[in-house]
Amino acid sequence: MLLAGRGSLADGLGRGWSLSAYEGFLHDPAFADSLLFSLKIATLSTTVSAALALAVVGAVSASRRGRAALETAARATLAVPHLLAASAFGLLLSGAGLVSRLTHAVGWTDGPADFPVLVADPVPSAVLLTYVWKEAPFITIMLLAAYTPAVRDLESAVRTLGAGRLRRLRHVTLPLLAPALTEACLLDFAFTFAAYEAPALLGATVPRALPVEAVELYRSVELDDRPAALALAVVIGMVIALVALAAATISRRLLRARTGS
Amino acid sequence: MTSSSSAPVPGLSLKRITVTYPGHREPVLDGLDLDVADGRLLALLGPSGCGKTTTVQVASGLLTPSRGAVHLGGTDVTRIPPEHRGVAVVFQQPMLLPHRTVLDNVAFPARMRGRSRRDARTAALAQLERVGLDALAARYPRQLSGGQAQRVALARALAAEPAVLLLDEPFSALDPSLRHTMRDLLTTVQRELAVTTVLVTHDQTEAAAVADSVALLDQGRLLQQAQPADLYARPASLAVARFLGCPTALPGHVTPQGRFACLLGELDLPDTVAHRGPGHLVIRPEAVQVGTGPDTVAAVVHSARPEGAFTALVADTAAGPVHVLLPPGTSPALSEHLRLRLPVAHRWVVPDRHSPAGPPSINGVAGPGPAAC
Repeated sequence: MLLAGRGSLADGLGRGWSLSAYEGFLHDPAFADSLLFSLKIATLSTTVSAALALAVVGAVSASRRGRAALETAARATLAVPHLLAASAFGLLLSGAGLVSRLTHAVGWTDGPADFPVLVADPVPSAVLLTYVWKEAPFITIMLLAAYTPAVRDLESAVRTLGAGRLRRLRHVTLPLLAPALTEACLLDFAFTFAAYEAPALLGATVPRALPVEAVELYRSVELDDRPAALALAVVIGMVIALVALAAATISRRLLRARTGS
Repeated sequence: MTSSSSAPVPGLSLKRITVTYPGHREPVLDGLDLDVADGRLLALLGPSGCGKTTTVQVASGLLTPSRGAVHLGGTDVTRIPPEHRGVAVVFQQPMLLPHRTVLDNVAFPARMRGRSRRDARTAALAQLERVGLDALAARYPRQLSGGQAQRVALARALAAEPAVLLLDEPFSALDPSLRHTMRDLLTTVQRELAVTTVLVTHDQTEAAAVADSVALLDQGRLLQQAQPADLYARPASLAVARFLGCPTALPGHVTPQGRFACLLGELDLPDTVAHRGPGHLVIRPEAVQVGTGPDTVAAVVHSARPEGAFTALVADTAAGPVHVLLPPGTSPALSEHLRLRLPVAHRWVVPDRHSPAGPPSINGVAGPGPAAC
């Protein structure tokens, strides 16, 4: 980050001191679009992944075998690299992809043109689906690790006090899993905000996610673009740091609520 | 098996409950029948692994039995889930919600019943006053001692206004003086509210101190259910006698005249012994005395070890070893010959048909005692 920071404040050859790269962002509407686009991808994919993970963990909570099967399935998904997952979703969801051909075969669509645009669209559906497929299992594993016998014993205890399934989820499971959920969401957000592969392969040309924009600028034949590329890397780092700070504050509050200290 | 006679309407009734855990061949509970009279306190006593906690789980609905039925006030609740059953449990650990204050933990059951936060907290405060912890209402569970946390757990269970209160060894993690305090608190609260209560314990002193009746469980079966004094004085089997600290068991038989014939001769029995035929004479160690005279039997000291201020003595007689708890100040030497008085009022005969164990081994002693005593 320090090297990127220094490079972002220099000219294309890494000499001198200048804020011109950052000043350029202020006058470039594409930067704001890219920032919002990346925030949208990270926020949506993290929220949906967290909701899905909570739902499946809650659904199998009572069954030891269910928890073991869920953990195995989640670990298997984690083993697939993001690049491979993004490529697979591209092959599945593109206009000429497998799903499009299947829907055509069963008569639901008239052909690729009739299939909804999921890949390379300003609405990053394929990117989000890839991330949810990859990150929901990650959050699931984090939640399962925090879903200790002590939490399950508490759930049993409050059953005898009149708490049904939803109330147990609200009053026991969620509060006790909240620290792990917060940490998992932070890691997920940080990764999806800074990751390159999925938005590069499945995203639209405009707007482009910040990491894609940064890599493209860094690869530019114009050396003068390099400070802007490094400045984008710094911006990405700053956003993640801000989110980490917020997560740390939330975690501290949750801990205080649990310990009363 | 004897049964407590003062049981008008069972508040809680377990009927032929059988529980077999997956992967286990032997059932944890094997056709268990248990009745708890409405508003009374039953102590469920037994060694570790005998099925006490499983019984609590079945009664509370946390575990569905393989066979049998659970009745509350005469209604079959076997298929009713715990949240709708009206049975509150105080577990061995307090099980308080760590992210809630003491007050909100106790208010939790009322909130689950749909009462407003203000009403639930008012009711919770009253329950905390009952257990003497209203001053700690604003604390979090981690700021409480073990005894305080269990009192909060008791207050929370009472706040659920349960039809039946189950306590699963709630005091076992506390130090002895605190256990006494908690026992007194439980007894007071239970008498005051007259809530049907089952206290699970492996401590016979605790059971005898607080319970209206005691049920002794072993290997998933009910050995005996009776009032504490009856259980001590008239055990139904040698297993019950031994568990209750009465290891003396002299083999013989009860004559048609109501006397116990054994290698010590014919011993008188109290009128309460109705059994006739083969059996074992049992007598509690603390009832046996060292003495002289025609009503004593000859014995040889086999072993002696201190037990607090007392001395636990095993003396061999012609009929078998007799366990004696001697008061402070008397400590016979090993192999010393002495005479033991077995007070008639404390004698009891366990019929042999209930005795899974064989007769105790007879170590060598100096001849039989008097022909009759």
